[in-house]
Amino acid sequence: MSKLLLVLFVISLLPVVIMSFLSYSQARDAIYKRTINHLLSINQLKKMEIENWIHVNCTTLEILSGNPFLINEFTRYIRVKDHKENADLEYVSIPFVKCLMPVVNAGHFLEIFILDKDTGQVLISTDSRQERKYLDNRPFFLKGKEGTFVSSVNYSMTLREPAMNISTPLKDHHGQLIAILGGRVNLSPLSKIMESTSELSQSLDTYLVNSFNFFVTEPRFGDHYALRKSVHTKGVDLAMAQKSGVDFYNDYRDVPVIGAYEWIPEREFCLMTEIDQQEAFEPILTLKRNTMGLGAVVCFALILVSWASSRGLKHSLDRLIRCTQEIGRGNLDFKADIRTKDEIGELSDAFVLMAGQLKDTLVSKHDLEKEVEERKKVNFELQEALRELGQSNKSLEQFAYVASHDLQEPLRMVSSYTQLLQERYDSLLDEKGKKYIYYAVDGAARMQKLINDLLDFSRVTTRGQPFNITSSQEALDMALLNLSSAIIESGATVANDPLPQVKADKTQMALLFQNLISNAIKFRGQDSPRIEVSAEEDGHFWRFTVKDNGIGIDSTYKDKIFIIFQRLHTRQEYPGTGIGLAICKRIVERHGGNIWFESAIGKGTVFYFTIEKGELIDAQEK
Amino acid sequence: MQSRFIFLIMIAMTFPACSSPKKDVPPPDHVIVQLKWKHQAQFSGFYVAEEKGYYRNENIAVQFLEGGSDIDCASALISTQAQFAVIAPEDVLIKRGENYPLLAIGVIYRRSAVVFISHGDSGIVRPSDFKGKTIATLGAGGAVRDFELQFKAMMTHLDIDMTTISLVPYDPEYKGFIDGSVDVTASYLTGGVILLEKQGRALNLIWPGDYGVNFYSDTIVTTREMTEQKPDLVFRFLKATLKGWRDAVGGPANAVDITMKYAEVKDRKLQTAMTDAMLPLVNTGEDQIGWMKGDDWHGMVNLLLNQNIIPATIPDTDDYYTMTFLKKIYGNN
Repeated sequence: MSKLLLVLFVISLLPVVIMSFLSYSQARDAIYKRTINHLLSINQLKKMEIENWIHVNCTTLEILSGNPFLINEFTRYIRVKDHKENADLEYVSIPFVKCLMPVVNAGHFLEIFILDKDTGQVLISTDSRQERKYLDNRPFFLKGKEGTFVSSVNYSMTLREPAMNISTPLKDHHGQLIAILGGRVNLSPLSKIMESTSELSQSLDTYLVNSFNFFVTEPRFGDHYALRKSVHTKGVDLAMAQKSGVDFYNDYRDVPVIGAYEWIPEREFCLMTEIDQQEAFEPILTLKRNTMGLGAVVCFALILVSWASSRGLKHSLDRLIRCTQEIGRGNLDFKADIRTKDEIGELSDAFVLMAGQLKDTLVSKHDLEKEVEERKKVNFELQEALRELGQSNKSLEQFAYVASHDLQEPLRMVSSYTQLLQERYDSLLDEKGKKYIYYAVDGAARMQKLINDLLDFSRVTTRGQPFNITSSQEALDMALLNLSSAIIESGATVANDPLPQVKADKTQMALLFQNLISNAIKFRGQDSPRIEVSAEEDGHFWRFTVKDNGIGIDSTYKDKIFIIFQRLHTRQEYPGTGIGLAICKRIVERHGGNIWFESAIGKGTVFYFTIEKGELIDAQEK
Repeated sequence: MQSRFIFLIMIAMTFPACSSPKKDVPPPDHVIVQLKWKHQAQFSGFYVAEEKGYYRNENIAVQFLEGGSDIDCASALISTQAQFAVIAPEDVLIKRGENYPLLAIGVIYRRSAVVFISHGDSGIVRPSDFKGKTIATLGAGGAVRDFELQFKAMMTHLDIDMTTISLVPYDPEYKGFIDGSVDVTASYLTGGVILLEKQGRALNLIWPGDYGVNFYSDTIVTTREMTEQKPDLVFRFLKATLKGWRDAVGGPANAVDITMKYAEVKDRKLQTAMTDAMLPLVNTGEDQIGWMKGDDWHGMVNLLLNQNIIPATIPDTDDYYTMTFLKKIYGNN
């Protein structure tokens, strides 16, 4: 059960897990790419803005340096400086300041100043406190003689804050260097450039780091970090190695970030754009949570469905197993009782059908066996009866023969002596004595006749000849010869069709015809007897017909007339013992045939009998 | 299962190989560092290097000796009481002029913390305003010698007549400055300025560096003998020290935490303010931490020569400082 459940569960879960994993990893990659591209594009944007900002500042200063008023006034100032006292100098410097102040007020610079081309001394400044200082060791003084120079951001000791200076040569109308024009750049726009995109995100942080690992601009999560705090993250180190790219590392707060780093060689800055991994991966985490949540729900649903379906399946299978066990035990009436319409249901129906058919088959087998038993029994009883009957017949025949044969001798004695009594003592007897003697002689004579007839009857079977191919015509001829005197006497006519060969006892065949024709003559009507004998094929038999025009027989006696010693008439009407038709029946039956008649009183009688075909028997024997 | 078994065997086989390199780790080099002043944030980089195990990683066992107004750091080196010392550059040059074989191997404060201050409303904003004023800048002690030195160098450089200026000794408690009897006092950006501003005073800062006097403040010094006989130890010591300073600058709050373990004055606010003030001196935004420049040294020599503080005989062959170790650490930039 648990195995089935597990298999069902795994098979169902596998596609869900694979699909979830694939969609999650694809979405994750997409988010990664998007984040990285976003950081890189911010870096590019910032880089352009910084360059643009510096370019604007440089241009502003250069335009100022080409101002004819400034050049004229400064030339005048030099002349005064070379000859006059400081008090006058201050007086002369006022127009400069007026000339320079608009540039400061415009916001690009915090201070504009003019350095002595030889000593590096601040001659004039919009911030008078800075005047008279010697800045001769500053790079912007040294490089500013040659052309416009942008210094790195460094820490101003007296201002006590980061400062960046731009310088450009100030030349007279002849192109001769007369001073260096310098400007202390207002760094707040730079910070604004760096901060501008930070609003879009909770942790997006863009800042500049100089080549000595110090913050140049304030990072988002720092206060007064600029030029006061160094930063040694992996991203900064990579940028220091003059590389550009994206990496995962911990930032200056030791918080894991994704950082895009870029080295700006012209300014010797590292441009860093970083976002907290937690924020960047929030969509991924959300996706992960959603995917896992959905997966868990699907998982749970699958477990339920698997459990339910496997439970149902198991119930059905258990019923089926029980069903097969019950059928195996022979309980064909057991019902699986599964009413589902699925394959299990069909299987169950098939089981029920099978059980039903099995039951029918077993019932019919049982019946057949029973019938076979009964038939065997009947057959056995039949055989037994037949055997007993045969034995009985045999005994009877033996008895009849013995009785008739052995009775003849004493009967002859009785007959002979009564006749002697009649002949010798007839005269001594009165009428009654004569009458009694007559009855005794007559009785003895009739008894003798009966015994002879019985002997004949028994001899049909006991003294019968084997069957040979016999011409029935010849048999008929023999019979007619034996009856010739009766035929002549009665004036009978006997006609016959050509008669076939049969396999028979010729003597008995002749006796058969003789008895039938003799009866026809004996039971004749008013007319002379007219007898017709014919034969026609009837399957394996020949059916013989002996037709007369005698007195006919009442059909109610159709069974009685074939019984031995049964008579339909008195001895006075028609003499005879009533043995003739009994002998006929016995002869036909011995030959395997049948005998019957059709008749009506006064309408003559037609006797039929069948005898097996002699040719066929021959052919079969061959 | 089998692969895990093989993996375990491999681990087991490599384990003795990993543990055996216990081989001949030489005993650590014992090094004594003579500091310029009492334990305070001024030296936080050293403490960070020690606490974070940077010295230990270089197989160095370090011991710090406190300085003070009565302690001559140069002598400590020369007497081999200490192997390294934190010394003002002028002292290096003066001792060198006296033929003591001192050699600066790096600089901690590349800009001098010396500054001259006046009250914000005094109108004294530049040296030319010092005329006729009382200035507290004189001092004999080794630690405050740089006040007088830089003052004179600046005035000489600006060619300002000092006859009208009244010079009085420097008072670390600034009593005269506070009560108004002193117009201008020398001070350290990392010390007095913080204290005075903490009292809510508006100050004008006149920094000698703006007037042609560019002095280093604390330099890391050893003897020529050390650099020749134990160059590797010198290299390792400097490397660990600069790493400590890098961390101190990169993480001031942590540096203050560590400093508090050493500091004589357990005033966290004071140490924090001192740390904040010194950071720009260590990191100027121009070069790597510890980096020295020949021009800077020449400028200092010239100023001292002009004041006759060092004899004209001092060799100009730059044998009072060496870039060998810095270049080895940072490369040739």
